[in-house]
Amino acid sequence: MTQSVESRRRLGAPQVRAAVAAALIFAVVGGCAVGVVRYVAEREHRAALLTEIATSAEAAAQRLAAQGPEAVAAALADAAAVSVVTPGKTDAFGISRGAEVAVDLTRDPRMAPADAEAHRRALLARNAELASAPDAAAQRRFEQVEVPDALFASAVAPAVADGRYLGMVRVVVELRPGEPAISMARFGAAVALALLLALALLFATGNVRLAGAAGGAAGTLVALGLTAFAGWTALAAAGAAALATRPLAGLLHGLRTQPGTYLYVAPAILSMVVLVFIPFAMGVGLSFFDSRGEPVGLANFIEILSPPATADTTFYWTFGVTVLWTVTNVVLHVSIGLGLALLLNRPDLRFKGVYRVLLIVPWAVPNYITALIWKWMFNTQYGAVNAFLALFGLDGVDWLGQSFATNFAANLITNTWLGFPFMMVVALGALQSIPKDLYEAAHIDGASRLQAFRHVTLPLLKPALVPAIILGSVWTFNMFNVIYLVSGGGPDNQTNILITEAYHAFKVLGRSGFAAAYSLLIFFILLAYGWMTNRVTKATEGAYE
Amino acid sequence: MTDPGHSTVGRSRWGVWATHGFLVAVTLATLYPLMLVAKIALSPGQSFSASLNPLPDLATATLDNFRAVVSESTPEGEWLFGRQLLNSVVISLATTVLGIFLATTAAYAFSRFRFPGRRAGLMAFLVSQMFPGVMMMIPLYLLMQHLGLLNRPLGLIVVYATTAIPFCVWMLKGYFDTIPKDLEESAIMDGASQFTIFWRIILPLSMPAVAVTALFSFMTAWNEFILAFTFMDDPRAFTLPVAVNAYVGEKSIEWGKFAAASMLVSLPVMALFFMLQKNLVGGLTAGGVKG
Repeated sequence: MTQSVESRRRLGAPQVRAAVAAALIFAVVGGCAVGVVRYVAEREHRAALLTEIATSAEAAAQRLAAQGPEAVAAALADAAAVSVVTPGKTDAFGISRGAEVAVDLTRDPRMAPADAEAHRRALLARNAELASAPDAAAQRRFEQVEVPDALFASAVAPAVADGRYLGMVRVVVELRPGEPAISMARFGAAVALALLLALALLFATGNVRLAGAAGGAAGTLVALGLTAFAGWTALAAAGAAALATRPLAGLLHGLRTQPGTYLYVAPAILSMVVLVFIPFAMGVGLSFFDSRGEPVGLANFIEILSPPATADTTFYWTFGVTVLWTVTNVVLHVSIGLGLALLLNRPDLRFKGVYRVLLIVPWAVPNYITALIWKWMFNTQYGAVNAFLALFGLDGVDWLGQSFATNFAANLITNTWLGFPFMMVVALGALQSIPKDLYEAAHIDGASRLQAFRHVTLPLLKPALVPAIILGSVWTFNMFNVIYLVSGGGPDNQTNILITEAYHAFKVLGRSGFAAAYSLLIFFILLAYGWMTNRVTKATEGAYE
Repeated sequence: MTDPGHSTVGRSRWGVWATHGFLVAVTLATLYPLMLVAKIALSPGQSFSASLNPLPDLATATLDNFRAVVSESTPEGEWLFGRQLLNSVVISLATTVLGIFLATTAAYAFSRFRFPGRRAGLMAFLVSQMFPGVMMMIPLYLLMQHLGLLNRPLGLIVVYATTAIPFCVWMLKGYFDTIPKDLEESAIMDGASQFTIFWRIILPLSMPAVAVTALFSFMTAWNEFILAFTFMDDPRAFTLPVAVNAYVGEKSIEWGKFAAASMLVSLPVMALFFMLQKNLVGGLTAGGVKG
C-alpha cells in the first residue's frame, strides 16, 4: 500500500482535479436520478390526473344538482360543457388544470368556428345519449379534444338531487402543457441522495474518519434541504467534492503510475457502475418522492417506520418475519447440507457420486418453476403433501389458507428444498480438502468420533462455511420468488418478507417512491448485517482482503 | 463411541444399509417434485393429478404436451419455440463469454495487484449483492429503454453478465489466490508480459474455477425470469422461461404444457451440472478453505 500513502502526501494539484471529477460524477448520478423520478412520476401522474378530473366532474355535478333541476337543464341546454372550478394550480410538470375560468370549448377563441359548432353538436348528442343511458361505465369515460396549443380532457358525472336523476354533467378541463418544472430542488435532492449513498459506501470501505466528517456536513444538508431546497446543488456538490477528494486523488495517482492494472478491472467496474450502481442511485432518488413526483422529503420513511393503524402489517412485523424466515432457512440449509455432506464424504460409501448428482438437481431447476410446483403440491384437495399425510391417516391441512403458521411452513419447506444443495456442495468441497492424516492423528490420540468432528472437522469447515452462510443469508433475506409464488404473502400479507412487501407496494399499490424507500431500508439492514458479521468473524477476510 | 470413525474397517453392515436407506429416502424426497413434473408432462390433458404416485401411467403416457410446446408458432406461421430457444441459447452463451471475460480480468487484478481503489472495489462488489432487486427494476428498465435495448438480446446479455460479476469475482479471486506466485516470478524472469502470465499461466491453471464461473453465468442467464419478463414484451424476443410463463394463467395453469416446457428448460442446465459437478465441489470452495 505504499503507493496510496505516497498519494496522500502529495495532495496538491491532483486534489483540484479530483474535486472537479467528484462534482462531475455526482452531477451525472444526480441527473440520472432526476430523470427516473421524472419519468416514473409522469407516467403515474397521467392516471392520477384523469381520476382527479372524474372526481371534479362528480363534484361539479353535485353542486349543479343542488341548485335544482332548472339549473341543470339550463346548463345542459346552453353550454355543452360545464365549467370546472378547481383552484388554479400548476403541478410539477407545468400542467395547469381548470383554474377559475369556465372552459367552454364551443366558445374557445382558439377553435375555428366550424369546428366549434361541430364539436358543440357532438357534445350535445353525447349528452343526450348519456342522459338516456346513464351507465356507470360511461361516467368515467374520458375524451381528449385537441385544440391548437391546448389540451382538454372531459369527464361526465350524473347530477342527482334528492335521489332524482337530473342529467349528465360534463366537466371539461383544460390541460396546459407548460415548461416542465423539474426544479433545482429535485436536482439538489438527487445530488444529496447520491452523497448519502457515497457516505454509506465510504462507511463500508472503512474510511470512517472521512465519512464521519462528511456525515456531519451531509446531515446539515439534509436538514436544510427538507425545509428549503434552494441552493442545494451548490452545497451538495461542494460537499461531494470534499468527501470524494482524497479517494479520487489516490485513484488518479494510481491511474498515472500503474495504468495497466486498471485496464484489467475497468471493464467489470464500468459495467457495474452503469448497470448496478447508477440504477441503485436512481432508486435512492425515487425514495424521496411520492408516486406523483412531488418531493416529500422523508415522508415515505416516516410512514414505513411509524405505520398508520389501518395497515395490514407493519414494517416491524414484516422485519420480524424476515428475520425468522432467514434464520430458520439458513439453519435448515446448513444442517441438512452439512449432514448430507458428512454422509457422502465417507470413504467407504458406494454410489456417492450418484447420490451427489441427484441431490443437487433442485439447484439446477429455475426456482420460479419449482415454486409453482410446490404451491400446487400444497393444494388442500389435490396436493401431494396432503395425500402423503393421508397415508398416515392424518387430516389434510389447509396449507395456503388463513393460518400464518401453515403458509410460513409451506414457504419454508419449498425454500429448504431449493437451498440445501448449495450448502451441501460447499460443505463437501471443504470436507474433501481436510487432510485424512488429521483424523488418523486424532484417532491415535484417542479422540472419539464426536471429538474429532468438534475439534478437527468443524474448525476446518468454518472458513468455507462462514462466507457461504453469509452469502446464503443475504440471498434468503431477499428470496423473492418463493414467497411471492407459494404463499403470495397470504394471509393478509402476513407472510410477506421485506422484499415482497416492497414489491407489493410497487406493483399492486403503484407506490414507487414508497417501494424505493422500503428497498433502501432493506439495503441498510443488510449493510448493517454485513458490517456486523465482518466485525464478529474475520473469516470473510480471506475473500475480501 | 469406540467406533474407529473414518476408517474403512469395522463398520457394521447394518450401519451401511441404514446410511444407504437414509440417502435413498432423502434423494427420493428431493426428486419427488421433479418426478411429478415428468409425470404431468407425459400425461394427456392439462390437469394436475391428485394421486401421490409420481410414476407416469405407461398405458396413457404420451408426448403430446412436448409436441404442443415444441411446435408453438405465431399466427403468421413462424416457429415461435425455435425462435425462443435460439434467443435463450444466444443470450446464455453470450452472457457466459462476456461474464467470464469481465470476471476473470477483474479477479486477476484483485488477486495479484495492489492499487488505490482495490479495497473499495472489492467492497463495492460485496455491497452490491445487498441491493434489493425491486429497487433496481425501474431504473434498469428506463436505462434499457433509453439505450433502445428493450426486446433485444444485447440488453439482457449485458445485464446478466454484469449482475453475475460480484459472485464470480469472489469465487475466482479465491481460486487465483491459491495459485503459487513462484510460477509467475519465473515467467517474469523469462520475459513474459503481465498479460501472457494471465493468459498462459493463471487461466489454464484455474480451469475448474473458470468452469464453475461459466456454469453460473450460463445458469443465471438461462433461468432468469423477472428481468426477461420485464424487458421483453414481444413473444418473438422471449427467452424460454418467459415462454413457460405463458402457460400460467391468471386463474389456472395449463399443467401439461407447463410441465413439458419446464422440463425442456431445465434439461440443459441439469446436463451441465452433471458434467461439471466434480468441478463444482472444488471450484466453489477453494478460495474459502485457504482462509
